[in-house]
Amino acid sequence: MIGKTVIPFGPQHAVFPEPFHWRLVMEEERVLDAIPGIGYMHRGIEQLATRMEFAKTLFLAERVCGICSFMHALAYAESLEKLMDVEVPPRAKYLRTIWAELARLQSHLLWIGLAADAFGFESLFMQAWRVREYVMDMVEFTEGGRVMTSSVTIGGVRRDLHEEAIEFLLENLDKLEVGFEEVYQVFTEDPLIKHRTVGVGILSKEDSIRLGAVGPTLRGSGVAQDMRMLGYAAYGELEFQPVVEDSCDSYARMVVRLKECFQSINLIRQAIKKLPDGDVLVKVRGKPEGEVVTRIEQPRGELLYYIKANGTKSLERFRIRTPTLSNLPPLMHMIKGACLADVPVITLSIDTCIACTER
Amino acid sequence: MFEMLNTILKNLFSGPVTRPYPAQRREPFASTRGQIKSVIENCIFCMRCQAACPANCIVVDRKEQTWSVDPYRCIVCGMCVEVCPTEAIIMNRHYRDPVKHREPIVKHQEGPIPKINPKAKGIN
Amino acid sequence: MLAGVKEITKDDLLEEVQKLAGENWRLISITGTDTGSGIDLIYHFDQELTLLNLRFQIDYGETIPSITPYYFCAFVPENELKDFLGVEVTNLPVDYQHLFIISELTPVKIPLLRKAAGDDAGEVKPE
Ligand code: SF4
Ligand code: SF4
Repeated sequence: MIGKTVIPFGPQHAVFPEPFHWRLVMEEERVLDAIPGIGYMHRGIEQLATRMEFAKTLFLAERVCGICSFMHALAYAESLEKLMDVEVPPRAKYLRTIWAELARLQSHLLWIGLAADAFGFESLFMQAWRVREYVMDMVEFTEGGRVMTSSVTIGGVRRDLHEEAIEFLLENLDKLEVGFEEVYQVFTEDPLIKHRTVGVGILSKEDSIRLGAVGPTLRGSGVAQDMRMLGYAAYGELEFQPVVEDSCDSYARMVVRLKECFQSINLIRQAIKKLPDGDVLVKVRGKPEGEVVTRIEQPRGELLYYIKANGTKSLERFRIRTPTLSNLPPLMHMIKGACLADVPVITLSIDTCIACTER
Repeated sequence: MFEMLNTILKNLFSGPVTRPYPAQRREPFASTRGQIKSVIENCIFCMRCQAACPANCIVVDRKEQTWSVDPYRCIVCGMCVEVCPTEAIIMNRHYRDPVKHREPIVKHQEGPIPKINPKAKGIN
Repeated sequence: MLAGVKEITKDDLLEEVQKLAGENWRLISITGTDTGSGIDLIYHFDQELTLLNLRFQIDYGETIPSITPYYFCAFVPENELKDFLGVEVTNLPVDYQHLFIISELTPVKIPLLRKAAGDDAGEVKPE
């Protein structure tokens, strides 16, 4: 009988792109208990927002996360529009939808590459990122920046899609679909990947709700919940169903993300087809007052913004709850009882984004 | 088995996806936000860009007739370009080059401040 | 303005939360705001895309009971409350001792309290 050992895992570890620490209490190869340690990159965005002008805070919100920057800007703009009673023109709503789906695609493809890398599948990692480059091109062509797009503003969007851009989008979507199909096949058929993920990191349906899981983690456990069903931006007018998998393991969460890529491609095509004409921006006057809760589906799950404004030029309270923060308790639950070698795969399976967790 | 053969053949006969970077560069897209440039002759020193900049990196001095930007603070959001009434700031699609020292770019305007009607957009 | 708010008192909290836990609501988060006269707490819950907010106010320095017996995941936002607003939470199973997200090196101790902002409150100016 061997006693308990405590293994510090991280903050610098080969599979995590960001500093994230696990304190693993082990008995032989099994994890008995796991305590996460975060806070290596806290930037104090919530406090800074209460001292900046609200219009400039948009750019601050965009910088909460380096991957889903568009989603944060969208959530912020949607919240302030609710506070200030601004009706966004329909064309702007559709453009927001298109860009939000592009952001989801690039984030999922990024994760797919990283996951392949964590399995030790280097060539698949490169294939996934090669496909991702089509998305990055689309983002840069239509929004002007690869990561920090600054394309949403309060009252609409700052850029319009002209004919040429729409052609570019459709052309690249076709290329992307063909390329992604190959990656998808490898992921769903390869025995090695199945061996690493099937039955690893089980999170049952009841646990997922009780522990507050969000996004693909929740949908991988058989709960059909997708914040896009709330119908923000133009989602209310497009046809889609949340992707749900029932096997509750890391494999299910992976398949949810893979299938969501196809769903995003489909949504972009639908939105382009229905794209209405007209303005993309309305003038916004006055100062925000009141409080609002906005929920938006990020690639990693539900994002909650709570904003309280008091009619001055800065906000009174700016609260961000990012999806990874909600997914930490389910992750602790999944890791208990797992092998040490599975810890990286399970941790990756919720798609951790530490920077936005610490904002 | 045949599938694998297919893949092998495809990879043998298709060229690389990557570019030999410094030797061959991709042209940035027309709408790329690269860096901002000042057209100081047009500036009327109205301070709008300074007020709108979220990174607080523009300093406009009306008395001295100088306009300066710290390019390493600038987040290339394009707000200053949007608010400038006389198109005295333009967006360039090439990213800024690496430097050895971080220094603000200071532009000085000679002669009297031009009388440009701020409503007349598209003067260039 | 905020939709789906239910005003409660601090003493009702555990009872209400127990009821929600029984009905399978999902805890989204807990938000604390320094209102100047105390701290305003909102517990956000969700069920099938319906949002429910339980809300009550406490004074500075008052403690609140932890809801981790019903929702284990509450330890994350409760530790955040401790870090950012200095709200003491009793019976916290995973207690980071004010060091969950901020560290000993953070210059401002309880950053989201108005008092903590101190002299340098106001807009951020260029250096
Ligand atoms: S681009 Fe944005 S950050 Fe840069 S100087 Fe202009 S307003 Fe400031
Ligand atoms: S907004 Fe344009 S004209 Fe006004 S100070 Fe800035 S650069 Fe000059």
